[in-house]
Amino acid sequence: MTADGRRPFQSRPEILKLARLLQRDPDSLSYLEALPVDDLRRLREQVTDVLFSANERTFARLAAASKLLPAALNATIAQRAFGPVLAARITGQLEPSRAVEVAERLPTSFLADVAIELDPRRASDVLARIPPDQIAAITRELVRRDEHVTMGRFIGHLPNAAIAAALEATDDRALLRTGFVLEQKSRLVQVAELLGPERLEGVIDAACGDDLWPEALDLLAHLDTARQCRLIEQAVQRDAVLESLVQAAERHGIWDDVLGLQSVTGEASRERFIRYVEERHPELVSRLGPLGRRA
Amino acid sequence: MTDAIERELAASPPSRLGRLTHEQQDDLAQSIRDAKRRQAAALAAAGEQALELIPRLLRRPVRRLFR
Repeated sequence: MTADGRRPFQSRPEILKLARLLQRDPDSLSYLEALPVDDLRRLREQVTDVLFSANERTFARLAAASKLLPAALNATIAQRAFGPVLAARITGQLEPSRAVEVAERLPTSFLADVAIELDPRRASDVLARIPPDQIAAITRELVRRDEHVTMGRFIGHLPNAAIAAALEATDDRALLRTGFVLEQKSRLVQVAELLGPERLEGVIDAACGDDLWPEALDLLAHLDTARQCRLIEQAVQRDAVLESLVQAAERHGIWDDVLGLQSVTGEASRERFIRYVEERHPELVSRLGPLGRRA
Repeated sequence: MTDAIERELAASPPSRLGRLTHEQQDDLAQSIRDAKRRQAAALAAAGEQALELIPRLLRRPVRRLFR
């Protein structure tokens, strides 16, 4: 973390989204890492608004013209003439039922391309009507492409049935990465509800196996206290999990996040964690701060 | 400080963008300008291409919408 509380890894997804809108190499915009993530998000939304409204009258006329044509022809035009960027700009102007009819006739890979370019805020009525099995197919394609940032933009705009289908199509690793860049973190409670306790435990295993503890701790921090307690108490029973967590805390400099979560667990779990650090990593006891002194 | 970006956005950007150097602000403003131009050009080309895909009988009513 930087002196003013910024975490550079949190800026990265916002820079990636902005770079896509501007068709720039994200590295060429790395100077934006100096800005707080909330400012980057606001800037990206402003740029989105400018680009989606710049040719709004033409987009509206194209949407009107699409009513005169059969859905199959609209699908052909979307692929062969407009391409994913313009198709994404027009989607929000289409009548939702019409947009869904056209989407039914488009290949999953093209729909994934459109999803990357879409502003879900402007297309939420369309997204709400896309059948869950099609959402699952698009999600599988986005997972295959490691498009966690795109998936993270959509969760807040999908109905529960569609989120459940998307979660089924997402492996635990992709789930953690998507949760980390989710735009509406408040939805994580609902996501956890849909995942169920067994799948959530699997997510902890993915954190251990793929060194995704920053992502897992972020997910945990956004859950309700009861789920936090249950997951942490299960996790601290396993030495392998504790070892992975301690090493990740040191490697990623996330001791504050680890210790913050200890405050919500019961005394027994906290004691087990502290004892583990004292016995296996005495050189790291100072990292426990007041928690260590109390033990 | 952030006048060039404000012009392109037609809105006030977050004030802390003023922390960027003048070169960085110009780079950002130019990128937004380029993106708008590219989009307008792509839209014009796509419109022509779309008309060629539409059956002749339907082209006239479609064109009428764009007058």
